[in-house]
Amino acid sequence: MKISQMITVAEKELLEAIRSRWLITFTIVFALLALLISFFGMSGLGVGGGYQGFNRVTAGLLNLVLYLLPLIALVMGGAAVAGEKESGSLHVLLVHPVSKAEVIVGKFLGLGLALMAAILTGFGGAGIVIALKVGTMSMGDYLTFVILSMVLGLTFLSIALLLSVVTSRRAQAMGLAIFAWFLMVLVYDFLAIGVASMQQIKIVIPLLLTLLLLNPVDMVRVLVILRLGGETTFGPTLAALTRTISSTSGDFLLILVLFLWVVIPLILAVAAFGRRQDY
Amino acid sequence: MNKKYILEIEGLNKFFGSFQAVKDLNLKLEEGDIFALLGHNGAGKSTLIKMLLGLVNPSGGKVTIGGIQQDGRNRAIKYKIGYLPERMYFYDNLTAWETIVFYAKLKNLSLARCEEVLKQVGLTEFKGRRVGAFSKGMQQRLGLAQAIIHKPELLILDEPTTGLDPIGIIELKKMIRQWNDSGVTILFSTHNLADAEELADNIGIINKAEMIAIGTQQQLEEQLSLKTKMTIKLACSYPQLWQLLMAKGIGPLEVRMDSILLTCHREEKAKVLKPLMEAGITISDIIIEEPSLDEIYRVLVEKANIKNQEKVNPRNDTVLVGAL
Repeated sequence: MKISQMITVAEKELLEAIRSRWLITFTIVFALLALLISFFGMSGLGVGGGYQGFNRVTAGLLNLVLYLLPLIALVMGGAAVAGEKESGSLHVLLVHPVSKAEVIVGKFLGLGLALMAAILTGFGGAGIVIALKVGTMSMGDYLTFVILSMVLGLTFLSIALLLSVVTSRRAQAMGLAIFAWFLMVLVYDFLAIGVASMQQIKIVIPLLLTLLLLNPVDMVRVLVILRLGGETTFGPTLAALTRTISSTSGDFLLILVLFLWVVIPLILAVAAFGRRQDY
Repeated sequence: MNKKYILEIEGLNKFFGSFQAVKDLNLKLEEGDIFALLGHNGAGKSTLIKMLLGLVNPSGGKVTIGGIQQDGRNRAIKYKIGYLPERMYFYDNLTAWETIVFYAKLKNLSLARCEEVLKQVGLTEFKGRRVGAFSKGMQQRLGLAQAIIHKPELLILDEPTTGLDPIGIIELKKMIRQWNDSGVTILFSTHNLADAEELADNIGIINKAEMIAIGTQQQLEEQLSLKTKMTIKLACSYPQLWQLLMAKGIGPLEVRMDSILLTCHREEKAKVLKPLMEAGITISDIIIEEPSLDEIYRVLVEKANIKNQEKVNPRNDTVLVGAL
């Protein structure tokens, strides 16, 4: 694999992201989300308007981001290869001296960079406003959350590219991406709730831990909650789970598995793309 | 002198499941040739081109371009080929300049070469415009620019004239000739026989996955013993003309009041005219209709279809002959 070819593909993806205006759109979406939650979060409690600190903003944003970000990354990445396959531009690209692996990794880098830029600018910009208004207390938690959001985006981008490679039409890829989102973000939680409500704590914890490692959304959720020190507010099962994780240097384990969630689908995408010829 | 082949195809086969898209195909293309690949839609032209490009792996046989066997991965072979698909799709949000620079970077070429190639296809003044807003003709030109930017040895064009307006077609043909003059070998597929007739040195006809004929138009014509039609208009009517011509062994012919209609082989045209001149007959006009590629194509495809039919149903044929 040649780095220069990957960078060329990445540059092209980034340029397209900027030109199609989705980069700026999502930057605004992320900034607005953070600012709105900071500003209006307290009004529901009858306290009235006014900015909240980073701790509450992070907790408030967490659930929204866990739903929204995987969807954005899946839709964005889903179109990446399937869209080019459908339009025919992929033929011309592959006739050039660039390997299929370079195309996939290049697309991942370009789209990943665009996604990270949108998150960093959106949440970062909002963070600066919050820091100016409320002060910098718990800003570390917010920063961790922003970084983990980027990692979450990358894991789903990687999954999206895999889905994009195995489908041949944009609409098909989108459908599959939304189905994957539905399974991993919505249905999975019910499964976790089911497991958590079981009686024998000795079975529940390892089972829950396995479920956790199989889904990047839940890993990011747990990592952020651990950071926020929320184990006391999320019930006994989660408390037990977080204790298990903490006692076995869980942070490290989760981050390692998250990393694998970025790399493995990407490797599978490269392998699947290399085998396919029916376009 | 040994002929140098830029493209060699040996025993190429492609199956999609049980469907055979390309069957036992052999072809050698000399350097500097313009080769037209003719065939109906679905005859196997696109599959063949995709195999040449390394986008689809053959089920059997091999493709060699510039001495390198095509396996879809070899980078060196990709520098030897330029490709223009039937319909060129780009990245709509990029400008023409950004698009050509993208392809140039993949081929490790300079920005100066990008300028040069855009000028060559006449897009310099539009280089800052988004490709999405380009007309089909302009997209085709940009497509050609990316296909020739690295000065390939073999240029593969898939249905290049489809969808172009008449002026676009004339310009495209001019560019094809120019590149060919500079030494580029060109292979193009088409179902427009006039394009093949006008541009190609050699023609290959694909019918139902098989290459049924390869050669120059003249060779194909001779192979089928197709004749040239001549209409010789006379200044006035001459009695005994028919007898005169028959005595010279010219025929078959039809003599009308002021014209003679006859068919002969391509090289016999002068032989026909000579006795007329010698007899002091004044000719006012000559209309010559060489066998068109349309006719050659039609006859070849019909023959191939009859042959296929015989292969599939030999018994039925016997019965039919018996019944007759």
